[in-house]
Amino acid sequence: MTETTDLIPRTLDAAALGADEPAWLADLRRAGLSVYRERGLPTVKVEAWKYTNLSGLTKIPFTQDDGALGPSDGAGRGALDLPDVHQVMLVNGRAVSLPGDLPAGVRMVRLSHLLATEPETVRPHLGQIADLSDAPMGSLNAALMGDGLVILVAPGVALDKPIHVVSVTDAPDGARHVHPRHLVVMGEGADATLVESRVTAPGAAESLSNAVTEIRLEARARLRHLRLVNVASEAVDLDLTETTLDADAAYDAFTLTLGGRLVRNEGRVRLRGTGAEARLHGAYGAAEGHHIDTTLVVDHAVADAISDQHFKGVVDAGGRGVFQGKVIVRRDAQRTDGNQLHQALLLARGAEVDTKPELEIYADDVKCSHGATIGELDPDHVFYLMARGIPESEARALLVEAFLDDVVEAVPEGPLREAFLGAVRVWQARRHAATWEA
Amino acid sequence: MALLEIKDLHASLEDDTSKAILKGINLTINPGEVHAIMGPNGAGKSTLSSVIAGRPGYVATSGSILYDGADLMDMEPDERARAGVFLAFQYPVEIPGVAMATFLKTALNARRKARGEPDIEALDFLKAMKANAKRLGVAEDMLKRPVNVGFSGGEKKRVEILQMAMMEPRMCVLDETDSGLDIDALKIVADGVNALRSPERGMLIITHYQRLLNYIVPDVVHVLAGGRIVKTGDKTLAETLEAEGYAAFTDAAAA
Repeated sequence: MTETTDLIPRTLDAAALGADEPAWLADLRRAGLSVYRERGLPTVKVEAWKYTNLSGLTKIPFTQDDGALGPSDGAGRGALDLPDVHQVMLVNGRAVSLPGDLPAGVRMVRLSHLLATEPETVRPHLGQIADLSDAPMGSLNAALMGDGLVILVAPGVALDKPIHVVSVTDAPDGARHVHPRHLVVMGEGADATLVESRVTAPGAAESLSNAVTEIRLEARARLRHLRLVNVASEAVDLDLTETTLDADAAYDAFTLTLGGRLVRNEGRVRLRGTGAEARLHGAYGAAEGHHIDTTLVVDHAVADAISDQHFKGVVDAGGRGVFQGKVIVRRDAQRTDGNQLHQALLLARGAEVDTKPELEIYADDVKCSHGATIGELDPDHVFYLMARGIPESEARALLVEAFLDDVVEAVPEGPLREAFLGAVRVWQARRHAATWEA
Repeated sequence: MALLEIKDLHASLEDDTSKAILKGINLTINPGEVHAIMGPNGAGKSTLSSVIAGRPGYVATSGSILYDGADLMDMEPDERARAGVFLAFQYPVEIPGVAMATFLKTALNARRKARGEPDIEALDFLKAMKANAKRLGVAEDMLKRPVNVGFSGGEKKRVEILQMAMMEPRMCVLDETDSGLDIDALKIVADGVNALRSPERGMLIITHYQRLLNYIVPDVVHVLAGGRIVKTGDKTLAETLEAEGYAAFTDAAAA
């Protein structure tokens, strides 16, 4: 038998976990440990992980991040370049710089700092928004959670400009695993745009980032949550974000993932107030050696809420895309409007996409739809562009951008959308450069 | 030197090379000349335009096409276009997500880049586009829409000619540009084409009907039937065909 690595050493004593932390937090860690020990690293026999195989992780000699790294040279490369934002950089979950000019009513703080100074601010939320009992990797995060970012927006406060979190994973001296834990609480009627760039530090060794983000939107709060996942080809990046929405709250999420050895963006949304609206949109590009998994669960717990999932994937030879989308409509959730659509564009033979839509409907007066398409670039389109003098690689790039056009519209027009489109263009240029070399 | 010189061209579909569609075409177009090719359905008209433009799926099994002295068969479709060959499509495709203006600008800049010229100035581009759109009766808001999406048949054809005007090609191939046009649109399109006639530019107008040739008067008319040019004459040949039909030629080709 080959040597394998355990992310939690077998010798770790549950009683010692969180020993110098508040009792409730230690309990949270122990509960996570218990679930993870019982279930272990999920295998492809677990339905929710059917298409995403983590077994390769056991072959990497990981050590857990100690939360002490600062930003290395070039940290943040590959992040969105955004003018006029409140920017913060995290290294392995820990904020290395925090903006000083936040408007009144807005706080951005390290989780570790809040836990040390005012744990009661965190306690009602941390581990309370996300139910991780069925999530082995989320439970692992609960057990081992490191530092993270807490964003608190007071009721009625609208941010003057977007927050941009540049989240860097680094492993300068050998493979590391890291378990960032973030929290966003938006008070009643608060309004913000949160942009995240998830990147890998240049020169980093293999890494596993296993983050959990909990987001609470109180009544009438509105959050636009835009993410770019642009991690290195050696990086494994797992993210579980759970969002709860109270009445008339709105969550507009857009996630663009470009590369990564294995990326999983798991989004769970609970609509627990009437009139709540969640739009989960996104796009991904998987080139050779990349595996990109989008797993969404939208839970309509009450009547008269709206959800819409729309993802588009572009997959090249040797790349793989996974889309699992689930809509649950509880018995009381009458007049639910829930839609789901996944569309994939295969650029070459040897590209793979797995799609699994699921509808679980217990109410009788609902409007739900789901759809999935898989296609290729239309050769007539390519020829038409070439017949006007546009080189084939440029023609194909233009058509890929056109394919992504309607989902990218989820990003507000202006510098934000331009930045996301810019990232798509860089990805395409890199892909073509690789093709030419081959 | 001839602008376009086709010699003994045989062509077929790539999937079925045993069945020749073009069976020995000879055609020479000099700068400044407008040639028309007329022929019944199935004569090979669209195959000819496809082979000139380099459409995938069509192969020249023998013979040659020289453009400005260079072997066109050695060039990719985009290289042909940048060298100055333009095909106005019989069926322009709709491309959702690509704005017409972006497409035109990308195409123009591809050509300029190949010549070592800088990108076109945004203002110059807009001016040229608006002027051409006005002349061809293309509403400006159509240029903001995705390529050909939701355009009527006639609008698509007008926009093809608009593209042609923008690209300033040396060799224009118009494939059944008159199909789907009512008489008013036909006149506008013909005016647009006529405005592009010049001593340096050659044109090949492929059509089933003589109607278009009342407005774009050709120097030479060829009859294509059964994959061969069976008769060549001046503009009066088109009128004869209109009066007498293709039967005499299809019978001759079959014999």
